[in-house]
Amino acid sequence: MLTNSLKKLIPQCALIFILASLTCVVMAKNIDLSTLPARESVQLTIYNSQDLTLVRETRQISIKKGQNRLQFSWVNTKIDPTSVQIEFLSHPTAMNVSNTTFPHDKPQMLYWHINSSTDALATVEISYFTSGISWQADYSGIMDQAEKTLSMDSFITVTNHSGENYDHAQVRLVIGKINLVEQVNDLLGQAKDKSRRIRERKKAMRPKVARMLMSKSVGAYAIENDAVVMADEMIMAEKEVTKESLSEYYIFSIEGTESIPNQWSKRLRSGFAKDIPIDTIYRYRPREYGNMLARVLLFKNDKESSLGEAPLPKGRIQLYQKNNQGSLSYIADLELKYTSIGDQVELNTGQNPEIFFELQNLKNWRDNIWMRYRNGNYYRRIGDAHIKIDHNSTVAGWNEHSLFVQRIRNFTDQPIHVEIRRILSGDAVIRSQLAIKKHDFQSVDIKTSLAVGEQQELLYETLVKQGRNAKQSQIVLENKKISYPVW
Amino acid sequence: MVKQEKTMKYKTLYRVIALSVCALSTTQGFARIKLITLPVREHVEIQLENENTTIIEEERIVPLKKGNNDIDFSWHNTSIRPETIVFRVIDGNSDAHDNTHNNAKQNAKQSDIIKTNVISVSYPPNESALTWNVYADKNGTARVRITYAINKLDRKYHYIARTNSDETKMQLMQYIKVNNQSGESYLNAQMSTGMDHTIALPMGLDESQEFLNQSYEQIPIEKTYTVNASELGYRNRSQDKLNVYMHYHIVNDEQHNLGKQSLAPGKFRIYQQDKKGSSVFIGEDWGQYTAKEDEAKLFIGEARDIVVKRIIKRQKRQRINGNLYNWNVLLSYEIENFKDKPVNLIIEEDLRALRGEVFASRSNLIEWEIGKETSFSGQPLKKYTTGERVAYQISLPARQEGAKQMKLEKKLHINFKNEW
Repeated sequence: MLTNSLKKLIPQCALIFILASLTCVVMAKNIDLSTLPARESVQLTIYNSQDLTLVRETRQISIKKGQNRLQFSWVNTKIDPTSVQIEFLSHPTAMNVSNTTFPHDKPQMLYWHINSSTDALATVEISYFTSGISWQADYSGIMDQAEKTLSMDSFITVTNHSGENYDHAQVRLVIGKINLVEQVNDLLGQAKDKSRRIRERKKAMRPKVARMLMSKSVGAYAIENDAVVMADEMIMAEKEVTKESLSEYYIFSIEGTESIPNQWSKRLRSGFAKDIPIDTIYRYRPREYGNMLARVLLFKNDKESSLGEAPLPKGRIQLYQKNNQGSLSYIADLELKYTSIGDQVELNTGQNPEIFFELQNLKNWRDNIWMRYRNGNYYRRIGDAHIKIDHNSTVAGWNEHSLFVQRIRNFTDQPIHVEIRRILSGDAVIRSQLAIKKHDFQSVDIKTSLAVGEQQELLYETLVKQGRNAKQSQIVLENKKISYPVW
Repeated sequence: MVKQEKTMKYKTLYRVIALSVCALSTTQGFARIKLITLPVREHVEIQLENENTTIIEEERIVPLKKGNNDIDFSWHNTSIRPETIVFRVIDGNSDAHDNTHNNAKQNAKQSDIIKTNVISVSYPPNESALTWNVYADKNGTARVRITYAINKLDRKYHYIARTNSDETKMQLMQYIKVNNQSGESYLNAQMSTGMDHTIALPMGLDESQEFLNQSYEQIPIEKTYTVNASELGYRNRSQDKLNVYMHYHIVNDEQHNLGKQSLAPGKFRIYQQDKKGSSVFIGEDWGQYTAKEDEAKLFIGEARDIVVKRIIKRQKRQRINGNLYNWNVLLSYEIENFKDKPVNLIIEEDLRALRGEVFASRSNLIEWEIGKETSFSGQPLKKYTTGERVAYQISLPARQEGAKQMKLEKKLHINFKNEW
């Protein structure tokens, strides 16, 4: 038990950084003396659209004037070997990498040969891509009793399966879809035939955004806050998550540092919004929500909703409603789709059994029947003088009328708004005195509102032209009073 | 024996949902060796309101010290849905104040209330556990509520209905059976079944509890008899005798002594009082979800004392032009009531099925009209008549003792139009 726990403490696959302060260039030495400079800081930039994390770590190393050799190894981790880079932050002009060697006998290791014009304690930044670290957004929403407002917590959960422990790391999350031509995970374990492939990949493995991130001009982590808000936040010591946009992407930076050991997940609150005004609308849209009257909650990702600072990343939302005992009632577990700033969030919470919703076909009839005539056919019975003339005609075009009633009863304790989408293919007419609007060339939306306890019967007639009567694919709206049929 | 006891003890320990406060390092690290305190559940509520999801809300009092606190929550071998866990601090009092005092809240100054905040949640690998990192600005205790959804703690509704001897009034009792296979016991639980209705019931491990949730008296019932050749079928096909189904109709509103809440779906067992005062089981049916103000229809059984013979007397094709025809169909119903009470009979005809009996149509749409030879009085029943179904209601007089059995004949004349 104890040994197990201790094992967890020890990084399973440490990055070993060896400084060999020898001037010799030959590497065929099996006996080496090395020092292990620790990480000074580490920053993780996690992309959730791809299995990709950019790691930037700084270390301090003693560099001598002349040739220096640095060994960098990453056994049992998921680092992309083609992405490892070193930069000399403290002495950018005095030091440079003359060449990088990937030894033939050790797959997850490289040597940097460094030329320095001075003796110094240098701060270097090593950056690389790793796979196995991911993040996921999720939300927890609590509606008030009257279904008028929502308070919503946003969370981000970072999961580390990279094989490496990252202690006290600055964490930044990238929202958006970047393009990668190869998956980091696929690149692992392909240590053979390195030199050629690695050079090719080096060109290909740099997504545009990652390049921008590596440049020093972006990535201000701490954003100045309002003094008042700041004071409160400091008391509560909650991590601030700052959000900024970059090209087509958004970056969430978590204040301070986080330790995320290998195999662990960590969930942090990335935002909180109170009193978000919500609209509840009942929609019948079989293509979108299935064959039911769906209760859809709508709110906007904008300032009025105390949101709108950044897009809402895709994630699950657990929806609760406060009841009159102060407890929470469960509503649903739903998916919140990626929502841009200013855009509307739609949450389909499913059917409400307190609303009766039924579409009934009341009557059907045809008219405008057109026959197509051919040449008259003559028939004669064998053996007698009977002659029969038959008009050989067939039905060629007709109109089909259908009368529908949409019955809705509101048994809930709130007035409701209902939108019904009807799809009519072909050359169609819809007749009624209801509030009908065309949605597209073959569907219409019928809107209505019901008070508490109200029952409505919405009557309408559809006419679909068939055969040669059909001229266009369209819906024509006609205002006509429709009443119950007499059978 | 001793060994067995030990394993039992181990099992219960292992299954328990534990909440623990780590009093060790606040800088945490991720060592899983800890000294922990175990705050007990102060209050547990089991919510059965949501049809598909059972929610547990438990309240515990958690000691907090100034700074960062780790609160562990683990749920080994239970069916908690971890994604639904919500942690809320209801209120907190600092040590400077006497918490046990009744007026604690009133006396508590603003400065005595602990401000808390959940900073992060950590999920260790391969464990059903999580750790909340909670910041407190003072030493003291906080009342926290943990809410989560749990699987395998489900409920079923069933109903017992007792009707009086002439089947005009009904007594209805709604029972809830809660079955706990969740892997956790909730011994001080308050069950909430909606509409402010709670009941204190201990839920042990793998235990079921059944209780009476609602009881209604003197519910007026309407009784109907229905025939429908295609949906309900024939009792005797060769004799053309239809099945006659008997239904009870109840309306879930205050006028009908119901309407306190929606009736959840469940099995209805119906008993009737006989003349001696004891009750006889007369049938059962699955009740659908019945919202307030809505109507429920319960199928009780088949009536043998009402005989309905259905015959297609005539079918005739009339040519309009070319390949365009009308079809003329005449149906006859011979009805006899052998009961000593007058009854209401609903005759339904599915027109799509009837068209299929008479001829093969190429069209999906059914255009029909009621013909002149129809002998039912009045209009078709609006409630049951649609574009593909026609229904008529007739009242049958009671059988007269000694008199000749009365046989009623009704005709239904249907024109199927514009077929080709």
